[in-house]
Amino acid sequence: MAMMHAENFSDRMPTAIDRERANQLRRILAELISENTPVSMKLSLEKAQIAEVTLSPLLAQTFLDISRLIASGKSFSITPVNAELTTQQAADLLNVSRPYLVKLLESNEIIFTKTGRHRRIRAEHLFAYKEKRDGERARILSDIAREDSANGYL
Amino acid sequence: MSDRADPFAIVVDANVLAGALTRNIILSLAEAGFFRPYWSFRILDEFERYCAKRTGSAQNAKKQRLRIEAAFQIEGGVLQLERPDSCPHSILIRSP
Repeated sequence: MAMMHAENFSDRMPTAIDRERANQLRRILAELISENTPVSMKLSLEKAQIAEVTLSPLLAQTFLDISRLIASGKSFSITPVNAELTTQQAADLLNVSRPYLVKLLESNEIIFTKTGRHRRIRAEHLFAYKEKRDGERARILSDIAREDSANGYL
Repeated sequence: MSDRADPFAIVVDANVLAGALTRNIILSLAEAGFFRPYWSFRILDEFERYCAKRTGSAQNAKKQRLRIEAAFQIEGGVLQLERPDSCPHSILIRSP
């Protein structure tokens, strides 16, 4: 089991085999899932044993989301919203350098706390900033594309 | 969250920003998190000059520049990098 923790999908992309198997799970879950109803499954284990599993709607949805991500070949990491992130983790999630992330903290763009000499960022605050930034970016890029297209450049 | 593990840095030169097609493609790929786009003050200056010449409007050129800077506020708008070779992990993209 120790080997299973050696790598995860934030370190590498899903392989063709990962994708195929995730897709299989995705199809099964997508078929079983329905809003507000728990999903019951019977899994046949080795030696003809049967295990019954019941997934609450949200849990089933979460597994579906994850299998979708892997099936489409994306790498990802899971971060609890109340997690305290290091500056490096926060920089990685924003896809910026660590020095730039520190600048964002110093200019009060993102709320952070200090534990001794270390700065920590709550994941929910980071995601709030990311949502704002990504929204603004998407808006500007579509403005650029729309204008270029209207001017006949595209 | 980025879809890609370990994105790398790319220095986007002025001629890539100048062409409408290359500009839209490269900025969309950067938006999708495939890499971190970088440019320098000098690159943006060159882009702005080119835009002004092509459209005959310095005001419009300035607007184009500010938009790109606003979309990617990397290193406070631009990387203080005038020589790409000082950044060993970056790749310089030039359109033909």
